[in-house]
This record gives sequence, structure tokens and C-alpha cells, in this order.
Amino acid sequence: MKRVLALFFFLCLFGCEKKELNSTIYAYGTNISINLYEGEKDDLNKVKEIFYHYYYLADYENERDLVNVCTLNKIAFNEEVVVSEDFFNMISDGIECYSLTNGNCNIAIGAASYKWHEMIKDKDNNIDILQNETDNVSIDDVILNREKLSIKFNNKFLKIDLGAIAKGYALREVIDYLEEKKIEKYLINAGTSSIGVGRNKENGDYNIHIIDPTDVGKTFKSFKASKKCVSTSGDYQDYFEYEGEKYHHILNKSLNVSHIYKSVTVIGDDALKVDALSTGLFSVDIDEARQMLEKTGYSAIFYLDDKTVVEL
Amino acid sequence: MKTRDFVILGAFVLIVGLSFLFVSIFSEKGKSANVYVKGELVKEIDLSVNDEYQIQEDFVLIVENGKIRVKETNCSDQTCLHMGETNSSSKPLLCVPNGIYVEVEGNIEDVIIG
Repeated sequence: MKRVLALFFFLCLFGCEKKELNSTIYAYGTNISINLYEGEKDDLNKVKEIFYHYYYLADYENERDLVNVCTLNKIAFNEEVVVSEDFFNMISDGIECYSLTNGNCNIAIGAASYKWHEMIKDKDNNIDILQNETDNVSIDDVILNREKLSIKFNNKFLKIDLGAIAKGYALREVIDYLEEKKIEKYLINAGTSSIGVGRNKENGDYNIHIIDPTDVGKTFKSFKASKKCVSTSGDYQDYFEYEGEKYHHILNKSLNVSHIYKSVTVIGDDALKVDALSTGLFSVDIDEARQMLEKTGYSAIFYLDDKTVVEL
Repeated sequence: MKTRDFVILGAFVLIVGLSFLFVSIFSEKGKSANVYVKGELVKEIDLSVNDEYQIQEDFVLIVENGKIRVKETNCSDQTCLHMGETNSSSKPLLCVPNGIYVEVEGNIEDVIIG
């Protein structure tokens, strides 16, 4: 009898739903919603910690008692600044995004990209002045020394801005942590423009729907995914219109805005590359985009300016 | 002895069954949306009640017929206003300039990206 009752209790416990671990934090200028369907409270805390850690390292405006982007931009011209290994890797991987995107995701044009964000807030369309901010800085002006863990700038106009990739970098670190802890059921939604999906609560795929850039209340394309990262860049977030022209936030190589696509969505394994590519692909034509994607084997969905959809 | 065992077991099954029923009925009725401002939970909104909620100056949410949407916003791009209404966990409302995020509670199998 006792055994039967014990078995019953066991079955009841087994049937009880495990508490989900959810949290929403504000970082990288957006709300990040973290949903773990496995693991412990400590894992949730660790995920939050990783997001905050890289958010502080990528801070353009405040030093936060760290050696971070803000510090480098203040003192790294002609001076070797010794940094933490985490930060060194972040910068060095950020530089790799340059070649990955044929120079269309460039962390060295920070002076221009930061100013452009301010100008968007003020609806100032005088985009030509961005040229003066960077004065021919090159990504090669960032001098890295891995042995000394030091970083130096060779151009006084050089400022680093990790805005386009910091979130992707942190998401990659978060997913590495979850994989290490064998946590497979999760969803990390970083401001709806970058997501990392494991498996859903029932161990299946997620259904992903891409927002229609011409009617953000609707979606234009759906697909299933698990254990993937997805990132979208679009001209409908962070923009203004002036005399019928749309001024969005994604700067191209010539420090201007391209109007080839309304949105670009990239699907792949590495959250950093996915994030960098969604920015980089936005400014190149479809042929160059195809070449860039072939190097990684990732897929992408383009919503062109004439409303046609191309999948590569 | 045997009969008593069955009675105990039967009662036990009944209690468990009833409590599951109770929990499922109870959880069905309260569909709600959480409103976050810069990551901080500032309001829990019951979607079964038609009402308006002022989250901050010039930012108002409205609940109508079980769905929530942005009614007024001062943000530059107005994207949140154009997102329309939602009653689904798969479709959060997001206002990037104001740092406001509205998430309907529920199981997530569908995710909207963009």
C-alpha cells in the first residue's frame, strides 16, 4: 500500500509544471526578455550578468569605473591601453565583423554613427556633415596587441562604437553559457530585433514571424527554427522622415543611408555574425549580399524597397 | 484492507483531479499583460477589463475587448502606435524611444521579429 501511495505522490510531483525562469532587463537601449524553461535561478542570474557585463563594456557615454569603449575613445589615441581579456576579445571580434561584411559593419566609425543617432533624435537630416566626424579613419587604425592585451588608435578621429554588434556579442556569450549548462529550452528576445532560440517548452521548434516593414502590425513571412539566432535590421525603427525621404539608423560605407531594402533578416548559428550581417547586408545590393552570405552559409530574407521579397 | 486502500486511492485521485481543474479554471480567467519601462515592471494589466492606462506622460495604453494597444505616444517614430493591438504572448508591443515593452503572459511558441 505504502508503495502504491509513494508512486502516486511521485507521479503527481512529476506532473507538476516546473517553474519557469523569466526576466526582462533593460540594456543596449532596449528591453531584453529572457525565458528559460530549464535550469536554475542561478542560470537566469548568470544570463542577466553576461548581458550587463558586455553592455557596460560597450558603453559609449560612461566609463562606469571600467576600461570600456568610453575609456578607449578618451585616451587610446597614440597610447597603448591595457584592457581586460573579455573586452579585448569583444573589440577584436568586432573588427572581424568588418571583413565579414565587406566594411559595411564598421566599429571604427563611432564618431559618425554616434552623432547620427543624436541627429535622428533631433530629426536633423544634414547627413553630409558625418564625413567631417571621421576624417578618413580606417579600421586598420585600431592596433591590437594580444600579448599585452592592449589597444591603441592611430588616428585621432577614431572612435569605437559597438552599438551594432554589442547585443549580438553578448547573446553569443549567453548562448555559449546555456549550451555549457546543457540548457536547450530557452528564448532570448533582445528587443524583438535580435533573438536566440533554443527549443520551446514542449521541446519543439519556435514559429518565427517577421514584421512587415510597411505595416508593423502585421507579419509577412513565417518559418520554424530552433537552436538558431535571428536578427533583423529595418528602416522602421529609429528613423525620421524629411520631405518624403526616410532617414533610418543604418549607415553605409559612405556614411549615408541606403534604400535598397526595408528590412533584412539573417538566420544563423553565431549571434554576433548574424547581428553584424543584418547591419552589413542592409547597405549592399543583392549580388554582393549573396557573396557575403556564401562565406558563412547563413540564410537571409530581404524585403526590398519595391516590396518584393528575396530569400537567400 | 483492500477495499480501504481503494477508497483512499480513489479519494486521492479525486482530490488531485479537482485541484487540477480548479487551477486550470482559475488561470484561464486572468489573462494579463506586463508593462516594463526600461526593464522595470511598472504595471500588470488585466486584459478582461476595458480601461486606459497612463504609463508615463504622453504614453497611454488602452485595453478593449481583451486586446491591448498603444493609444497615445510622444515618441519620434510612432512605430509602437502602428503595431496595433495584441492579446498574444507572441506579439509584444515595443516602443524603442521610450524604452517601453508590453508583454502578454502565456506560453511562447510563436515569436515576432523585426
